[in-house]
Amino acid sequence: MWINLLVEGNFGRTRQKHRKDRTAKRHHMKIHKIILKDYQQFKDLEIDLTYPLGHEKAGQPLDKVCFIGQSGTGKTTLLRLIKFFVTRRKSELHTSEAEIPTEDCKISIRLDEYDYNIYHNKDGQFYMVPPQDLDVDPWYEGRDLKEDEFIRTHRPILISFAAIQDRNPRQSDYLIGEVVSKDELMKNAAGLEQRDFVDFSEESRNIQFQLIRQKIKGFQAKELEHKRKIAELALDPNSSLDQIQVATDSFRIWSANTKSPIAEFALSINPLISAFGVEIKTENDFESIMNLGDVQVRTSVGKVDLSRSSLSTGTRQVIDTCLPISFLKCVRKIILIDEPESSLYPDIQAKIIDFYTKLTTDCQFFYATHSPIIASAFDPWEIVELKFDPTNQFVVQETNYVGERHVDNYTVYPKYQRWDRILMNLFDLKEEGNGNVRQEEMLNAVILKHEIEALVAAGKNKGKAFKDKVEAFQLLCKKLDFYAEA
Amino acid sequence: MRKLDKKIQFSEAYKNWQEAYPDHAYDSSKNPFYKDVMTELLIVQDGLCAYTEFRLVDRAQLEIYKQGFVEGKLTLDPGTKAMAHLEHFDPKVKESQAWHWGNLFAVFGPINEDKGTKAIDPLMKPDRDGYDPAELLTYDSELHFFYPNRNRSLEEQEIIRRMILVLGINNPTIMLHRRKELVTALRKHRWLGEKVEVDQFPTAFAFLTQKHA
Repeated sequence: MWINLLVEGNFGRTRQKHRKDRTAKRHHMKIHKIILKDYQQFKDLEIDLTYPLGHEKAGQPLDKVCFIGQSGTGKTTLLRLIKFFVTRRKSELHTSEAEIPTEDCKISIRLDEYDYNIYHNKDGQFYMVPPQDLDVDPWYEGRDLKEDEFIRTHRPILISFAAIQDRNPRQSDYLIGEVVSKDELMKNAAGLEQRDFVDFSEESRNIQFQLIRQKIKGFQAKELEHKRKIAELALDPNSSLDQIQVATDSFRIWSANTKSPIAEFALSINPLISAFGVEIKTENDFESIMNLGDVQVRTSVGKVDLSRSSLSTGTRQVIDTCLPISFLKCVRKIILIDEPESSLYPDIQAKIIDFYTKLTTDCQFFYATHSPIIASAFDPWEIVELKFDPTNQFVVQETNYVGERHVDNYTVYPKYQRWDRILMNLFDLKEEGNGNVRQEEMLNAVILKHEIEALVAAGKNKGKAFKDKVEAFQLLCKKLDFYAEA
Repeated sequence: MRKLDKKIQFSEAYKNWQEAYPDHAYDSSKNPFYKDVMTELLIVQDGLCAYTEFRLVDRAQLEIYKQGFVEGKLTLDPGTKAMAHLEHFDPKVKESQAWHWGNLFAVFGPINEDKGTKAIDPLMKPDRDGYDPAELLTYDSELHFFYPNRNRSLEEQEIIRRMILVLGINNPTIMLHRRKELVTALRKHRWLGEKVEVDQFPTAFAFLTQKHA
């Protein structure tokens, strides 16, 4: 096997102490630093992903991170590198050897209280190394991280959503009907929970969704079996009332103890997608055996079932991200979502980040976005702004704080700002409106305003000419949304 | 846009060269005098854009320029580049006398790009003899907008209106910074009763403080 995770480091006197510590269960794995040297557009980049001074979690890894920056600054590259290092699969990068980072590129993870750097060496192996100046946790000596108890108990550890989820509904009816062959499914028989990494990119998402459908199917088949048994007993003239009662009780007990995956999902997502006028249908009318496993959407009003191809791209985007997050019971996982704003109207963009957080427990999210509305869900220390350096050759991180990295020293606090200000302050949009066109009309409005005020002061505020000026001013106000400026 | 006095100091070498070759074509930063011209302008303009008074180079950096400017020559590398373009006030003069000192100003890049070759009127030239912003302009304290002084003739008001647009005095980028800077400074001025000195936009601040004194 080409993946071979080795551990090196200075094992000192602290070894015994830490070995004792290993009796405690590991609970967290979060990334707290990314270091890139001479990698593609990054010359020398070190991204601190911890809470800053003055924060109650100062020094701990951030719970959510948002990469922003002009196209080409490497936001998606950073997400791919996280996949590469956390899953330790070369296939997560393109096949070219030039894309494989050298040992000078690494991510630092915190596994409970222990810090490690993960990097890929020239020898083609991944290494997980404690920082040299820290005590070493020797537990990893000679072990393959894939067998770590954290990873075994928290599989999958990483879930990734690509930027464009589903633009062509005809090619991806993966939530309704069988679109993946049985052979393909057999190859993935281990199920999602057994993998380190679940990827919802275009190439592999059909398989992933079919595996989710299988889980739903399993529940629904069981429900169907209970109902069939009761129906058979009820129709059989030889069966006693007691027998029917036992079967009914058995169904009731099963129902009480087994949560319906669809009902749970509907409960969490329906408040959000109600904005689109739709909801997840929770009742299964079993019209056809082919419907087993379907995630059926219907209109909120009139309860009319909708085919997948008739859903808006926004609805599909929300369902296709929330469904896996909800079904994979995301506890302490790393979740990557590229362009979470895709196809979403601004009101939903404003809610989606908090919504993803609420679907999960103690996960670490990495987003990449172009949307100021998405950015407004983040504190400034959660935002990593990437910029081309003045020579346009390399990408650097914009420092959005002055002095020490402290919660009070940031220059832009997007959570508290207007969308247009976020666009200008964080996304470097140079103008608050349509440049020179707006500027000229604003000047005309200001001139007219002072002309009217002068006429009022002189008592000349009567007659048609005055009224015409006031009307002209009011029309300009309407065009310019003038009152909002004051 | 405040009154600028550009007759402070300048390199004899430049003067002699400019007089000897008055019709030398504009050759941008490739011209051997470019850095000296730009440095002199930044110094006489106190590091501010000649038209909008937006800060082009911070005070510490400006000190480096001043220290390195000896007898009209920039003698050191100032490090960080100023956000300044070399602007020709009158595009017609640029055609005939590209390096004519009287036609040159340091301005914020986007202002220079927007202005392009639009026709100008000398009434609104910041180093003109007798130029006084208080006579030509007024400042709307609510919207932070400059507009023509209503005491001028209607013809002049129209010239001023047009020149406000040509020179980008209410440029949207500038507006954002101006509102931020002046609202903060004005509060300090009102609440703390302190003598406040603004880092940029002194003309607009003078209008505001006189009005609210």
